[in-house]
Amino acid sequence: MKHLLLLAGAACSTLWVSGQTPDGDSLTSPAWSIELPSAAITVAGPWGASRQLASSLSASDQLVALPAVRLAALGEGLVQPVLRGLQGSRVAVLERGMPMQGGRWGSDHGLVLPWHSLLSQTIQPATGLNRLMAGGALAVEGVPWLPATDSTAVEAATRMRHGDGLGAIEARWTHRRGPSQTALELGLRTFADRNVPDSGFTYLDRTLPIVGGRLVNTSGRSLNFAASWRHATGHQWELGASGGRFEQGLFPGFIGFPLEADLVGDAAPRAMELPRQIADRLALTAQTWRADGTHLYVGLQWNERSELAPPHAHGWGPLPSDDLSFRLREVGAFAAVERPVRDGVTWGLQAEGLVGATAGWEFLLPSHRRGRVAALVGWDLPVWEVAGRIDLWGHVSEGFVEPLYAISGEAVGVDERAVELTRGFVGVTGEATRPGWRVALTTRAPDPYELAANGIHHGTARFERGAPELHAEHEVLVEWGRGAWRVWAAAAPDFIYLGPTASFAPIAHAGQVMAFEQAPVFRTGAEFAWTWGEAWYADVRASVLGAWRLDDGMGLPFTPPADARVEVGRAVRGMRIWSAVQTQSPSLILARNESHTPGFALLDAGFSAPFSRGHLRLTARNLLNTSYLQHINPYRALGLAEQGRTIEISLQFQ
Amino acid sequence: MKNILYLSALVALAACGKSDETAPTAVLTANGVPAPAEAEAQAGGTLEVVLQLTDDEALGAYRLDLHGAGGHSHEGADAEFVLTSGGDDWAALEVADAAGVEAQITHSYAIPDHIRGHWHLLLDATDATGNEATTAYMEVHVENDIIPLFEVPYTAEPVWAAGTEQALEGTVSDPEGLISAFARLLTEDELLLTEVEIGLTEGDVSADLSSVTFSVPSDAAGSELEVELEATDAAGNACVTSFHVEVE
Repeated sequence: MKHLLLLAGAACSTLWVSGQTPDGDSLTSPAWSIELPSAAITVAGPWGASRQLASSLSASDQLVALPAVRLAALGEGLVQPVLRGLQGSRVAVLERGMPMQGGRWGSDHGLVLPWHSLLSQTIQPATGLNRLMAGGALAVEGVPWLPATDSTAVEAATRMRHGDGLGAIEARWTHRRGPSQTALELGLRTFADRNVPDSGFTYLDRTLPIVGGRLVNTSGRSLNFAASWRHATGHQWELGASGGRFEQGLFPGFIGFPLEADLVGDAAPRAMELPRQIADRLALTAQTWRADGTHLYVGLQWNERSELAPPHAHGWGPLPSDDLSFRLREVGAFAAVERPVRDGVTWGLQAEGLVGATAGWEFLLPSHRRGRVAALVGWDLPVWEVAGRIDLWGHVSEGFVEPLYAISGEAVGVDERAVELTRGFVGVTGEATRPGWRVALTTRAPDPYELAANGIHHGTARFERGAPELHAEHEVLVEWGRGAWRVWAAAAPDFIYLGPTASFAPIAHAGQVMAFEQAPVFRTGAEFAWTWGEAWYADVRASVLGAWRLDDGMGLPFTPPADARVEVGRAVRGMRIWSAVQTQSPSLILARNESHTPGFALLDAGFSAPFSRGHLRLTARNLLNTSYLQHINPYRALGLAEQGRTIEISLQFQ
Repeated sequence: MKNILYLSALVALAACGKSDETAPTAVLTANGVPAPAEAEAQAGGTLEVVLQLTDDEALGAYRLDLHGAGGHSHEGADAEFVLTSGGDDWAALEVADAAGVEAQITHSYAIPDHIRGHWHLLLDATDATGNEATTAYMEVHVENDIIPLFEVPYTAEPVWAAGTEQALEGTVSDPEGLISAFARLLTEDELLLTEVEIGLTEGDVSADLSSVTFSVPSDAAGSELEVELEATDAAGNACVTSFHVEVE
């Protein structure tokens, strides 16, 4: 019997993924873990890595195999981790200890990370006080496996997928001589329009066509790279750089009303037309570990996300002259130091700053600046581990006005979209853990979008409005786990969420105004994961989650329905064949005006086998080509089904 | 411990307040025709729109949006291929608060002389809590006896092959008599590729479009072109309309 221990996270959770190089189907692969600074998901046990990694090695596949984690996806590359129903700024991403910032203005926006790479899923365990990092974070290292002995090695992987025509190639070069280690990695990926099992979809009670079984203009491509150099003697240094570009078309229905002419497509499933998104990222980090245990790290990052759309006017103003509807460019810096002061006690300081500039002819968010300083301390007591952090946040955002036009094209007034805003927040975060138990208090300052957004957010097809008066939110969480079970409950008196108002936006095609507000919220859930057997095995994972406003009894929006995955398989001499059923209940917990999502069951199957220099994998997803909706995905708002059947072959060479 | 957690959850849920979860209703009528049926209207006339809003507790606001169909007829495979004139020249947006539990609101819109085709009319409403009514939606068909009429036999966007010669089909007519008519081929970016004058003799009340032949650029494969049609009658009334062509 294989054991699984699942420790799962809290409201403002930092999600770390830990792992190491997979060794095929070996069941001796060490455990991999996901730990959260203020909450933790830890998957331990000898099978966690091997079975999952054998079926698929990508970070995204590993994550969705965990009962508490989902990936909301607007497309192959627009992937956003969802942890116990939380996403956006509540689940930040750490990259070599630096929290990824910027490049996202909405919770639908994916991160420019090689989520689907076969090589890049790595990942180091949360260490020190990083488990108390602000926000919540998913840590994914760009360059993972540095060789342990003097050597030079090249790894490569390729994936081809029938369905959406995915093609990917990735390569990594690693080199070690004495105390110096170097690694370089490059990945390229392209995919065609997403295949769906439907021939139409319903929007505003009208049936619109999906031609050729593909969602037109959802193709994309990406490039990612990572490099690192580490010099390890008594005093260690590490320099790292990573980044990439991601470009993907957006289904035309996200920008205005779907036009039949646009839905027909151009018979070129890899062509990207308007509208589309381009996201770029570059991150530079430097770390040093001194012999006395002091750990110092600094980082710089640049993120830019642009949305290009056919020039159009919401209302009757003049048409814009270019395609840049909105761009968010954010540059951030981060620095932190941790130092043990005596046995079991560590202190730390963190500071980070962010400068965000927006542009484009469609206003959604003003330019803004943001800073945070924090003092941290951790105690390792005989039974409990206790850690705490005090944060000071500062936020400044600019005002923005634009003309208001009449149907004649004449300016008849001004529309004030944002007011100048200066805010400060103070927060305390702390946690106490012991085997099986965790108690945490988290504080999160509202992010720039929650404070100052005011416009049409095409990713969710809604008019979203920030609230300058928001204050920091707090949540208390208690969780308990034993064996395969984890049960948790959390209460927040001032949870920030986006709810409907009684008013409508005063511009054409905009709809009801959704505004950020704070309300008392109770969340609770349970997760289960267990594997029986080795050669013949059965693996069961399940989770259930509830999240409600306490003042009116309504659910929180995008609360993931209960789900379960049952896999049975046979593993022998490194080969493995398996089949799995993944099922999700109907959405029973709904926010005001949120539409119901039916349940579904999907059939997957796979085969993997090692060969002399690598590994072969065949994976079929949604084998029966079932049409289904994913409650947490933005496409559901348009009634668009998730991806249909895909059959993927991947090869990994060493 | 599990018991404690479950107990705390039950206590918390039991403490939940209850709020109005009943959505308001919104009934939309245009020129006497209730949505979702199609309303008929005449260019030069008026469109009388009546909104009936109800809620069990208190109404919040409503939003009435009239805009050109602009190629989104929403009828799926049975979509009607309609030539529209002046699609962007007639629109309205009303956003206003509503009070009480029941409201009947009337809006009257003058219809310009020079438009023809289909418009969309949508009504959204909320109650004071933010519950949103199901969108009431209908099409408004504007007929026009004033300007010249172009009629084409297409049932969907024509598909033309790049590098070929393509003749138009259809007619243009006006009971007052036509004095000029043109057909133009434009790129997606509205750059003029070809302009052809349709031959007319004095007193013609109709003309065949088959006299118009366009050379489809050989490098246009995979793109869309626009065919723009313009005619003026003896009274000086002009009609400008267009449709898209897919090039393969």
